[in-house]
Amino acid sequence: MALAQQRDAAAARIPRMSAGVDPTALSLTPAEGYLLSRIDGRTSWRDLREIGGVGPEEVDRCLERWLADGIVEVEGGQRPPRALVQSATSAPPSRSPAAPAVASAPGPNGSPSLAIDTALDLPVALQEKLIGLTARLAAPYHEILGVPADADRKALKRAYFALSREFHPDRYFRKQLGAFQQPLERVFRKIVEAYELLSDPTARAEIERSLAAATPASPSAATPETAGTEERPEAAPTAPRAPRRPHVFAFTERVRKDRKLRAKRLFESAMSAFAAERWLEAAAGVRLAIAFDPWNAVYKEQFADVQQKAHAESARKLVREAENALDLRDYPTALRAFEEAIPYRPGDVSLLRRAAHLAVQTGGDLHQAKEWALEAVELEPRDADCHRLLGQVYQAAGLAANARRELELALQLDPENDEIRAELREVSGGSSPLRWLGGKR
Amino acid sequence: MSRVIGIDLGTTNSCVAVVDNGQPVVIPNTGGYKTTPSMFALADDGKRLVGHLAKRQAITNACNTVYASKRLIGRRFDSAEVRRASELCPYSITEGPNGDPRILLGDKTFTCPEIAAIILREMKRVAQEYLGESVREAVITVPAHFNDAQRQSTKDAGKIAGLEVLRIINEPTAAALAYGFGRKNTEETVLVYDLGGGTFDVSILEMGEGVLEVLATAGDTFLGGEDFDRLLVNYLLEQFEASEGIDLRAEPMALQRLKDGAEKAKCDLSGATQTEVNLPFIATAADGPRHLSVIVTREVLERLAAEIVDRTMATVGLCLADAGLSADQIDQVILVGGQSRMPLVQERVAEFFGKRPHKGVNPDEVVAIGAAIQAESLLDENQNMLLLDVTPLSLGIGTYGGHSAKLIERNTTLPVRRAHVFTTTRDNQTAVKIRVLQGESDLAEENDLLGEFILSGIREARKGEPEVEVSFDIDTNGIVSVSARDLSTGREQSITVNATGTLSDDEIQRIIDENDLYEIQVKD
Repeated sequence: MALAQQRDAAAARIPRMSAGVDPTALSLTPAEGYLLSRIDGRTSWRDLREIGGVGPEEVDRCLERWLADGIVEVEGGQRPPRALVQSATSAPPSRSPAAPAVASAPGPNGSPSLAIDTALDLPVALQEKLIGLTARLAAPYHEILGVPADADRKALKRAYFALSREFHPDRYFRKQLGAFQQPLERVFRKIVEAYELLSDPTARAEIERSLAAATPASPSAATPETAGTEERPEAAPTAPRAPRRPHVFAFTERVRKDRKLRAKRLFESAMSAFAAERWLEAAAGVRLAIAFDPWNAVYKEQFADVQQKAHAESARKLVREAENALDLRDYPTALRAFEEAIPYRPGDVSLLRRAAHLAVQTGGDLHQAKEWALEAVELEPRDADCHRLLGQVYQAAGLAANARRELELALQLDPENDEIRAELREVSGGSSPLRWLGGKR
Repeated sequence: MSRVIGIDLGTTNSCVAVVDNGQPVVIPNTGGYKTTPSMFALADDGKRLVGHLAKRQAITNACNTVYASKRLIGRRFDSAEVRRASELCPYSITEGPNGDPRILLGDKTFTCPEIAAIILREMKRVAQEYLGESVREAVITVPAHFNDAQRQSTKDAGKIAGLEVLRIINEPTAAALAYGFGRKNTEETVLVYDLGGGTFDVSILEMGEGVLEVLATAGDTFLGGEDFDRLLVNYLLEQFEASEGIDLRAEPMALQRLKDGAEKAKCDLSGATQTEVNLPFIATAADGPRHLSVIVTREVLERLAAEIVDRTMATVGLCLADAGLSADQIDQVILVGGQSRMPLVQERVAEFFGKRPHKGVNPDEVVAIGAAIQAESLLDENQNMLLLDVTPLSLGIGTYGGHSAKLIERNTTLPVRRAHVFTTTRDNQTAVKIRVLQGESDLAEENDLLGEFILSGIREARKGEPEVEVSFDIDTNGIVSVSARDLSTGREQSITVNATGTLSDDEIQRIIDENDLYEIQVKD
């Protein structure tokens, strides 16, 4: 995380917030507040002096004082970094003073610091709560929501709704909120973040793991990247702890070359698999090559061919598997194999019919069966058997009117077929469980 | 304090409501109707006609009567949707200076927000007459799937109509608010199926203790009742051509009559199993006049419409997947929008969820009621309902190679802000161009371009060293704003993402001035 610095070691020292410091508790001038808000554990002492807004001497004076007071600590210089043993439960993460600092200390625009203001349309009790909460934005998520660490989904939701009722900006629509405007939004967003992450089992497991690891671990493990940076995309549930990296506009040349090389190797081995008629392996190889080098037109062109072969191969295998299963009367397996084969053989009416028929016969998924039968009908609109099959699906689903329509169509196409006639009679006479729905008479 | 109204600005019909003594009421117009057609016409004598008046004369003045303009608002002239609409509509659509579609009536072109403003002004007038006091503020609803430009244009329309728009809310969410009103203590998961005149939305919400949280929303901004009409019109055209050998497609007046006939037949078929479309003297042949008389059965309509209804059910499935729920976890299904009256829709919904949809709401009025409730909830101290809505579309930025990097995923709770740190790719690069995109595709060109801006004044340094933090905000109206800060200099830059296809402030002011002139004119 820290940039490796060389040469001028003293100036290259990187100040960072000490663990457990509550910036709101400090008394700062706007300039000092600005400087403090710049300390992000990445900007060196030298850079801080050059930032502007605060003179270099002033920067030195402030930093020396904060260093002496233990508010700030440095690493990367002669002073070896103290092992940052933090408990994430009590300490704000070392690298994210920004959230509380910006909210509470005067920001670059010189906004006043957060203090109770009775002139606002905001109850004093709530102002106090907000001051407390803004200072604790880096606390573990369950504490933000005020629930025990093992709270279930229902408890989470209750807490979330209750907090929303209190802190949602809509509650204070058109109210004079003064300096509390931003902190209120910040707090609400944090509440949302906490609720969303804790409701997501994957993210929650991750959070619990790092909370457990935070106590005795190394500085890096004790730096919950997301805490206090609720506005950073890595707080997204999928990767709650991905390291924060500057977003680069383009792949750098080196990375791109590397990727291209890998793609080329993959493609070559895929082509030799293709030559050996190992279609599936070839398709997987080309797909990977494209993933590594999405700009290569040759790969894409080849992919169509390879994929076609691979699909045919997959379909052949699956149909064989289905037929074997049918012989063994293992209908669920057969149905699954047919289902998997269908996308590999688009337009294969007989496959669609076999699958739909099997689904109806064995009480499979009728929605799916309907899709298959519909597709068959679309492909062969003049085929009585296709319409009949669709009718059978509808009948199995209890949709009598639809069933009748299809069976009538089937009979029109094949007037001699007595079986269809019998089925049609059955549909017309029998009562449908969903009869009340359509208002059909 | 003057009252705040809720307006459902629909594709085919609009509706206005207000909360009166704690009870939401739908306000009838002077004709006694609770909904007003979203139609506007310029008569031969230059008179402006709105609502029922416009609809009544639509047949004789087809080219100068605007309907369904909501399908165009906030879109680009060269978009597929606008192209499709111009093929279907009798009025002519031209390209405006911002690349926005404009409507040509007589010798005057109207912007889409202007047309919407005329409808909104009418709804405002209806409310003012009912309340006996002037109305200045409103909550307006839009389809959940409206993007930033469409929302922004709707807000502009409110401004042109002389309304301060307190909030733009999503139609299905409004419907859920109306449903949840008075059910504060029930904890339920509800799904709103909103099939209106021109758009289709699905939203899934969790409610309890007066809070409504939107879990997911999905939809299609170009699918609705009008499509059912169109299919039926085509069917009638084919029938007529088969029996009489005359193609009516090039006859605007005949088309307008067919459209009215189809719409009426469609509504009839919700109750009856067959109906007759009877349009005498629809055409003239060498040997005399021709009449159109076609029997349409419900079966025919259902066969024509089955594909569209299936499309809506696929969207329902998508929304459920987004919410991480299965069909049996939905406690209530609420049907909204006039088209949801169709038996086939109810049948498919019931089939899908294994239960009957909720019957307690009026599908035409519930959205306006929800808007009124939201207005009241914002302003009243003892607020009743709190809405936790989401953004329906992902927000991203264009990256190298024509890709889109998502910064805010769809279905994220609003308001939301995400900051992202950017750096340069060349040494001493001082400016970068950022393209803000809205949509779900990984390819930039398949998303809507909200706008682009140049971030300049980056300090000269080796590539990868400067750090510029760009913050993306979506407010509770669903409207996007962007700001940037150079982390090393602290320099801030606020950026207006002027969506391509929306109006500039100057233009809005010009339209307001023109319309004010016009208002004085009529009163004389």
